[in-house]
Amino acid sequence: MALKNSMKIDHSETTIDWAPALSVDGIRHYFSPTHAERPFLVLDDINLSIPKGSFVSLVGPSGCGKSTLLRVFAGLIIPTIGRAMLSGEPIEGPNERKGMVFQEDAVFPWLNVQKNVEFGLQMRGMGGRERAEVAREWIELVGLKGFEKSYPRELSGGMRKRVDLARVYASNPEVLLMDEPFGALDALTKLRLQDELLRLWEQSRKTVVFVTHDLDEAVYLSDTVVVMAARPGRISSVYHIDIPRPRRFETRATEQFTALAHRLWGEIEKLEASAGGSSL
Amino acid sequence: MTLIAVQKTEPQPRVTARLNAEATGRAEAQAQEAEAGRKFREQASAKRRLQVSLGILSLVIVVAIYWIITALPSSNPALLPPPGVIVRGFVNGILDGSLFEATQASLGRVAAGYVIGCAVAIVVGSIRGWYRIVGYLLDPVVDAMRPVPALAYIPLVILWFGIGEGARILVIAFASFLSCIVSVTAGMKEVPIVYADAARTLGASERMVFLRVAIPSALPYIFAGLRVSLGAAWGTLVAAELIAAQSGLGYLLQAGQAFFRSELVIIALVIIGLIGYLMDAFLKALQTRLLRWSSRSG
Ligand SMILES: Nc1ncnc2c1ncn2[C@@H]1O[C@H](COP(=O)(O)OP(=O)(O)OP(=O)(O)O)[C@@H](O)[C@H]1O
Ligand SMILES: [Mg+2]
Repeated sequence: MALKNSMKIDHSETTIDWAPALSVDGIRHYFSPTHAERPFLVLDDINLSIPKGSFVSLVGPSGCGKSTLLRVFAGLIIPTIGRAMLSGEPIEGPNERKGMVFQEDAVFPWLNVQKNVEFGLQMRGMGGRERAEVAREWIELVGLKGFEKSYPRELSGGMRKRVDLARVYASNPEVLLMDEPFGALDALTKLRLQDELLRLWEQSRKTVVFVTHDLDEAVYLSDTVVVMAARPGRISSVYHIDIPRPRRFETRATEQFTALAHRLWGEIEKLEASAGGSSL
Repeated sequence: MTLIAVQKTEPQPRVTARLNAEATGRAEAQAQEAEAGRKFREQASAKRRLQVSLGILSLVIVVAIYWIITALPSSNPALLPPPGVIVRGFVNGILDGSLFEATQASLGRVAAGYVIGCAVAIVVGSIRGWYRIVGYLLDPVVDAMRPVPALAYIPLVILWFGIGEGARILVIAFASFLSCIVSVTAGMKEVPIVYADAARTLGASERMVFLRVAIPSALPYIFAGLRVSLGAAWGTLVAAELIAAQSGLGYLLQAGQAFFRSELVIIALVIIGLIGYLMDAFLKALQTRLLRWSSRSG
C-alpha cells in the first residue's frame, strides 16, 4: 500500500462522532478495456476517510477517476479490490442513503418537473399530498417556481440541472455525492446555488462529496479539497481549507481565499502538464 | 505611419443602444404579443390547410387518372370497371349490408389478434430487452422466428386448429407479435443507463426501475412497434382471409376474383386502405398525446 496516498481528514471544528461517514481503505478499480488487452487501472490504492458532516471536494485533471470514485461511494460501481464503507458498513449497492447528482443529464424526460422532484419520495412510499408539498418547497428553492408542469425538454440545460438538484435534495439522503453539479450553470445562478448549498449544508451538516473543475468553487465550499492525479487515478494531495464559516460572497475577496485558490491552481497545472507528458 | 494617420482621421462607429425603461410601451407590447399569437395560429392553420388540400389533390389525381384510363376505348370494363360501376357496387353493398358484414368480420379478427399479439410482445419484449439473462434465453428463439412471415405458419395452424376463427386470430396475433417485439426490445436496450442509476440512488427497487424508468423511457419505441405491427396485422388478416375464410374483406377480394367482379375487388381494396389509414391516424393521435414529453412525439 502506497503510504503517500493514505491520509486521514481531521475535522476538528464540529463533530465528535469520529466514525467516518464515507471511507475507502486502499481500494483499486479496473475497467475492462475494449481495445487494449490489459485491464485498465482507474483507481489505484485510494485511501480516503470522510468524517460525518464534512464537505469534501474532489478536483483533478479530466479522466483521473473523480466520477468513478463518486460512483463507488454511490454503490453503482463495486470496486475490483476492497469495499467503500458508509458509516462503517460495506457499500454493496445503490440506495436512497447515498444521493447522487450525475455529471450527465439524469432528469427523467417523461415526467414533468414536479413529478421528477417527487420521484425519490414516491419510491420511499410518501403519500401524495405530503410529497407534493415537499417537492414544491424544493422547486421554489432552486428557483423553478412556475415551471412545475413543464417537461424537461422545455427547459434549458441549467434549469434541468436545477431540477436534478431539487430531486436529490428532496429525497434527503445521508450523504450527497455531486458530480460537477454547477458545471453547466450560468455564473450568477452558480453563485446563488453555491450559497444555497452552503446554507443547506450548514443547517443539515450532511456529508457532501463534491466534484468540480472550478477551483474557486472548491475552496469556497469545502472543508477539504482532495486533489487527484491521473493514469492511474490516485490522490496526489490534500488541502484543508481553514477559512472560517459561515462563508459569504466577501470571503472570495480575502487574501486567505485567493492564496489558497492560487496554490491549488499551481498544483493542478503541474499535474495536467505531467499527465500530458506521460500520455505522449 | 500612414496607417496610424488614417486611423486617427476616420471616426470610429460606436454601438448605440437605448435602455429599456421600466413599463414603457406596455400597451404596445401587448398588442404586439396578440399580433404574434395570431400570426402563429394563422401559420399553423395555413400549414394544416396546405397539408389537407394537397392530400385531397393527390387522391383526386389518382381517381381522375383511373377515370381517364377506363374511358379509353381500348379499356376492358370487365377488368377495369368504370367509377360509376364501382360506386353502384359500393351503394349496393352498403344497402344489402354485405360490406358492413365483411368489414365487421375483418375488424373483429384484427382487433382480437392485434391486442393479444401486442400485449404479449410488450411483456416479453420489455423483459427480454431489459433483463440480460432472459435475453440470452429468448433471443435465439425470437430472432429465428422473425424472418419467417406469419403467413407461412398458416398451413401448420390449419393442420392443428382447422380453419376456424381461432386459427385466423392466432395467425394475426403472431404477425403482430413478431413485428411489435423487435421495436419494444430495441427500446429497452436504448434506455440511458444514467436514468436507471439515478432512480436507484433515489431508492427505487429493481422492479421499480423496470416499471417506472425503463418502460416509460422506452415508450416512444413501444409506440413505433404498435404502429408497425398494426400494418402487419391488417395485411396478414387480408392474406389469411384470402386463403381460408368465408367472410371478411379478404374473402370479398377473393370472391370478386372468383365471380369475375372486379369492382368488388377494388371496393375491398379501398376499404382495407381506408381502415388501415384511420387506425394509424388514431394511434398517431394517441402517441402525440401520450408522448408530449418526447421530442419524437410528432
Ligand atoms: N465504463 C467505463 N469503461 C471503461 N473505462 C471507463 C469507463 N468509465 C470511465 N472510464 C475511464 O476511466 C477513467 C476515469 O473516468 P472518470 O469518468 O471517472 O473521470 P473523471 O475524473 O470524472 O473525468 P471528468 O473530469 O472528465 O469528468 C477515464 O480514463 C475513462 O476513460
Ligand atoms: Mg467525471
